[in-house]
Amino acid sequence: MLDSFINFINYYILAFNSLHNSDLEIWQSFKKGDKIAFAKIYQLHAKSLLNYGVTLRISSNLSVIEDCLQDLFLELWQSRENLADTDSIKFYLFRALKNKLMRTVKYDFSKSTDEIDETLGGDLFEASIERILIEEESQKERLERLKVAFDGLSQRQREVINLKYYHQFSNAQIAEIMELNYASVGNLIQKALFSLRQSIHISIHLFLLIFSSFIR
Amino acid sequence: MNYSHYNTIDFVKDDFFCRWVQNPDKHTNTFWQDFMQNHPEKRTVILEAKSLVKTLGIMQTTPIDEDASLEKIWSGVELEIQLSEKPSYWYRFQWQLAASVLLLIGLGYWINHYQREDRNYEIPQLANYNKEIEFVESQNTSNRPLSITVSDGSEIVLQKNTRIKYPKVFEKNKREVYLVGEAFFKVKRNPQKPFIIYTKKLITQVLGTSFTIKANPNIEEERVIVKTGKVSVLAQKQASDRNHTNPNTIIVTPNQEVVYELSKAKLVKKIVELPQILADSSDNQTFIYRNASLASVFSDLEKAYGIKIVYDSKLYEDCTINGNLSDETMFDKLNSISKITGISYQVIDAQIIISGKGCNY
Repeated sequence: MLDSFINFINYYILAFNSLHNSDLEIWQSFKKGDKIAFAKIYQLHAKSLLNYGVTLRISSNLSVIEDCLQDLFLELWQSRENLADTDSIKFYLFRALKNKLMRTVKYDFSKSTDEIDETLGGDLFEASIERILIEEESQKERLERLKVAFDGLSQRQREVINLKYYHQFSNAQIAEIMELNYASVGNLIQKALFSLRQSIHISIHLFLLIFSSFIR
Repeated sequence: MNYSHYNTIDFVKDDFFCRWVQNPDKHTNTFWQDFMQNHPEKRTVILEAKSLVKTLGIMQTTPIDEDASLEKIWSGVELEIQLSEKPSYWYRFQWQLAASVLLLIGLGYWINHYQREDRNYEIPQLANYNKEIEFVESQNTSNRPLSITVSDGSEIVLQKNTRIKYPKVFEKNKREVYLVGEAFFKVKRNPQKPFIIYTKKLITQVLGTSFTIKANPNIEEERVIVKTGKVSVLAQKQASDRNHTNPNTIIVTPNQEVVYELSKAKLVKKIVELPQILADSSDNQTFIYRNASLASVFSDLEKAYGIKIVYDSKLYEDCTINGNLSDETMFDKLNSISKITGISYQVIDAQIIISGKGCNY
């Protein structure tokens, strides 16, 4: 009984998924007023958007982010007929959320103290074998430290690392979401990586050693 | 794009490189494999960059109750839209349909997830699992260890909540058992019939020895801890070539353990927390020293605990040890030696690596 129920649901999901293959198809169904497509868009992207909003940490009050997301989807539905086509719903929504957050909290995202210091770039990867050997922590503790270091980054640094490595956007997309020019995205990433390294007080080689254990 | 002058950070920042790491496809795979072949000097840098990109993703999580928030937001959206639209049955029906799809999709994921979790508790199966063999299954639901003896005379001690499945009579050329949970094995030696234990993530093979396997379904890690003899361990994932000449096989000796760590999806060899002096290190070592060379002390330790110590013998040839180390654990002994001579040590990959200045005082 339960098995056949599960099969039914899996079949249902399969059938639904095959109806909407690409982002463009889902988007177009949604624009025509298909509520299942709309629910699907929510189901696919709301979680990522929530993560992005929380990572930005523009307000200590979670409901600010929740309200923004709710408004975003509500407006999305209400203005669906006037929306341009997109082949990346995720990118579209991230940009929209960012705009909404900026307007809502009137936070000046462009305010920046992150300009890259060129003198720091050069010897980032100088080897230091002795220092590698000094570390005796477990990998898990190191990952924890890394998480703490990430939390300590400046807002823009956190944002760029979040968009690039968690949400896997391209540099060009990040430039648009963050309203930066293309070259600044690369500089900001570099700066963020450097800050991460500094705040966990280890040599970059050890930093890499941590990472190297995650190769699959 | 010319990548030949890229350093690690350059790669980490590069879109095409990240695409390969995050969402590899045929195109990116071919490109980067070719690139590494043509630029072997870049291999290390690329592997570093690859793991950097991965870890920067892994370390990020959402520190809130996502599901509660998502549910709240969706019902808010739904309500607002319903209020703004004309109250017709058709509209209402559409919303109910959309909501039920969302629920079903969620439920489907949940069930898939649940089933996947549930599979953990099943006895692992072999691809060439022989259906004609009659199996016996033992389970320890009590709070005390349960000792069983299998047909070849090997002894297995099952800890709480542990299940094991084994043939009533072993096959001619091998002894295979399937384990979920934690058990200590004392395997009767028989070189013609290797003893193989299958757990969810590991394949552990021995000829005759004693060791513990910890493969609890609710813990991500699996562990094999060796007491005597030699044990070879292979991750199930890498077991396409299922024999002990597989290059991914790790040999574990006494006072060592091998841990399968899910986050890394690989086997890591370590030294156990409290190494014991091996029973067969016959020459009853006293560990009492008068002007003994550091080399001789290290040699005693290596013999007693079966752990390799790596050091530069030239650098430390003037070091001498005086004192009584007999009542200390292995790591306490090493700490004492470090204090006396000013060296330091690290444990890397189940070896002890000695560093620091020499002792020409």
